[in-house]
Amino acid sequence: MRTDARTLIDGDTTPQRMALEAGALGFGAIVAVGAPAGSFGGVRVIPGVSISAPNPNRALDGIRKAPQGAFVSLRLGDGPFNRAAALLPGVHALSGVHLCPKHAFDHVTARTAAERGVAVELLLAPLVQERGPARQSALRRYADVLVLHHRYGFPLVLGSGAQSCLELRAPRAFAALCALFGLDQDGVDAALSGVEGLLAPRSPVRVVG
Amino acid sequence: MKPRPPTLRQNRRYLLVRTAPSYVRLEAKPLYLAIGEAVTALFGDQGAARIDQAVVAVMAGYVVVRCRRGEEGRLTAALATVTGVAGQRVALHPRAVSGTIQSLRTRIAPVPEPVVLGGEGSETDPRRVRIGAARVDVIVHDYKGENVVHFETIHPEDR
Repeated sequence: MRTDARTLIDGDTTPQRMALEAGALGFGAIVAVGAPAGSFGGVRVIPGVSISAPNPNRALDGIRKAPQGAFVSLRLGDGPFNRAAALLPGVHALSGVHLCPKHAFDHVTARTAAERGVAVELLLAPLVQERGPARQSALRRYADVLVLHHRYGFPLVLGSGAQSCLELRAPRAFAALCALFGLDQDGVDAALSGVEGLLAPRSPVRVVG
Repeated sequence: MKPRPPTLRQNRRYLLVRTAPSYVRLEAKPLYLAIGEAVTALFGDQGAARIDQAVVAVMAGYVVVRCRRGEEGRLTAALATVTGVAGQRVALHPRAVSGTIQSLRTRIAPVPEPVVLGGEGSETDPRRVRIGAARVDVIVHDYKGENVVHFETIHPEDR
């Protein structure tokens, strides 16, 4: 099931309308930051929690307050914070890689994320809405993340970062924009269907009764 | 002027693009300029010359955009970066790619006709436009003269 890993409901669109429009574009689910769980027009709305914290302890407080079943993403910061962030329990994805300082998301963070099954979230919003140096910087960071992704194999998730239903993009547009920084169609398909696996990770032992 | 023989003509691809919101009536020239700006910003002048994009047809809720064969992926990426046309917020969603316009026309799904439910568009009396069965847009003209669009959904019991 294709999932848009980041939509925000603090814009001009209700979560119901966002789900309807996402369904029309070909998504089966959306992660809506700040929205309650539900299903509208056959599209599942997964509640999302986005945490931005100055240090790992404050981040941990935010993770503990996240509701059950929410998709928790933690905003990346400087190098030491990122290394600790990948180790925090309850984090599904690391976000804001295009905003953190150069080389702050390094090979140590990448290896830790791969070992713990924490995804890195790539947003289309800086590619769609920015122009000039800001967009060039985002493309450079995403290409750098992709090098580490191929080396260490941590999961990727893709989100539109839409605050309005006019900012949602179709999977075809996701693929075209991701091709700009080198992510191929298979990688896009894996990233768009990665949220379900992060919310219900496979474990070697499963309690059945 | 004698036309070129078919074997010497440039091969082209046509993209069927859905426009949102569907009730915004787009003109071909502002749309061409917006797409051209997006292509140039993303790929530069050289890339824009290679893509060779043009707006071929504008219909209710859809447009057909042309490009050189092999460049449809780059044009799709550029179309995704279009956020407005002539100051109006618009999204362009590529639906299909084909070598002929005729085959694209067969893939056009009818767009529900928007119904104005009332209102003048002022802050106290916003205009409400219903699209299909479940979508309502509330349009307010604020003091800057801009259109502020909010989106709501009709409750199933109220349909």
